[in-house]
Amino acid sequence: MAVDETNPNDFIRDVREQLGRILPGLCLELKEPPQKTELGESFDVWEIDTSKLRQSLHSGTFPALPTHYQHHQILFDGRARASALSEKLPSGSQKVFKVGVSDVATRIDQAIDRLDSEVGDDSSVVLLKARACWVYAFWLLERHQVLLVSVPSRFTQLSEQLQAGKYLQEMDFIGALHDEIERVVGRRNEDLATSRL
Amino acid sequence: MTVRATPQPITAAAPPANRGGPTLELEQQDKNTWCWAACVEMVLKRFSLSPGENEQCQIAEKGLKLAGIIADTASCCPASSNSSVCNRLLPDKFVTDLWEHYGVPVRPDFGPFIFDEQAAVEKLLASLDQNHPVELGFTDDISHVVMLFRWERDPDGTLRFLYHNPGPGSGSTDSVSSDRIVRSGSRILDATWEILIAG
Repeated sequence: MAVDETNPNDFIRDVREQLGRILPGLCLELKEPPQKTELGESFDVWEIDTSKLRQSLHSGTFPALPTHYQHHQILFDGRARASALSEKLPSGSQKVFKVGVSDVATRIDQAIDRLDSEVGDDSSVVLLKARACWVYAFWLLERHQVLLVSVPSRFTQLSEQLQAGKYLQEMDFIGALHDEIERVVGRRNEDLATSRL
Repeated sequence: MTVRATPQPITAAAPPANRGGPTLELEQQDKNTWCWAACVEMVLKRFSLSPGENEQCQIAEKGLKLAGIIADTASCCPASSNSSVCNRLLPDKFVTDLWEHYGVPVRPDFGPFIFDEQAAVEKLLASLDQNHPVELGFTDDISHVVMLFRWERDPDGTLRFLYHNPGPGSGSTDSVSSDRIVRSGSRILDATWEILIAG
């Protein structure tokens, strides 16, 4: 079940209207501005607190929390090329606060195809983001599985498990993420303070 | 399972007439830790500075040598090399030194700016109004830099900033509400380098 099935029509209309104002300025910066823009799928975004991975492995609880944000796929001329984040305001309206043109939208689109063709049941799905690591995955709630959508190469070069397109049991995902982040952050601590990547 | 949804048309308004800032093109980072080198590359290539020395791997090599992180004899080119010797972070002090090495005057400022977000927004606007790009440093679990190059304001007064995010994994060009530029979730703006060249 995709999250957008539960969205009332006014929510979708709200998001589309805001994107209609935000996208034209952003598209001016593109080498090939699209002729047609459309709103695709919407997903609740949950975030993994990467500072709590070790604790999570000990307790056996999956360390994801709802962000209260929604991720929206955006199609340029029929292809998923961009995405947006919105949040519900206390007034009840939905505010789009970030729109980005990135290959991640294409990877999410490809993962949607896989979910539709490979998952036979009616599992609920949310978009998982590992905070600060640029790791995106779909979390299949009832199956306790994740489908990895996008993983930076700093992980994929060394980890056999953290590969985009791979299904993992949710705690196996946390274990692999923990190992890789320990490696990256450990490496950072060898460097001087306040470094950028 | 049915995740795929029927696309809904987005009716585009006219682009905001009220906008400013320099022209800048996105460069994606060639290695996981080279956001800082990709930002320098964007500016050097925009202003055609240091031709022959402005490839990202050359910039990374220079920065890491300035910081003493790699040996003077080490090489970071080509970027496609699997060697991890040069896949290293660069401390903020040496980000400033790297700009200066390339003869790019910068005005560094270190926050966090969360105690007066409006002042930070005004400062960014003032930089962009002089057509100066601004390198923005964010801190989260892992720190990162992006290049701010544009502001735009809707007729209703809504202000947005546009920046190029070099990656990793996938570079992006993002448009963000001005009230999210200083603080967004756990991410906090904690450093800026105003590039004092007008583009």
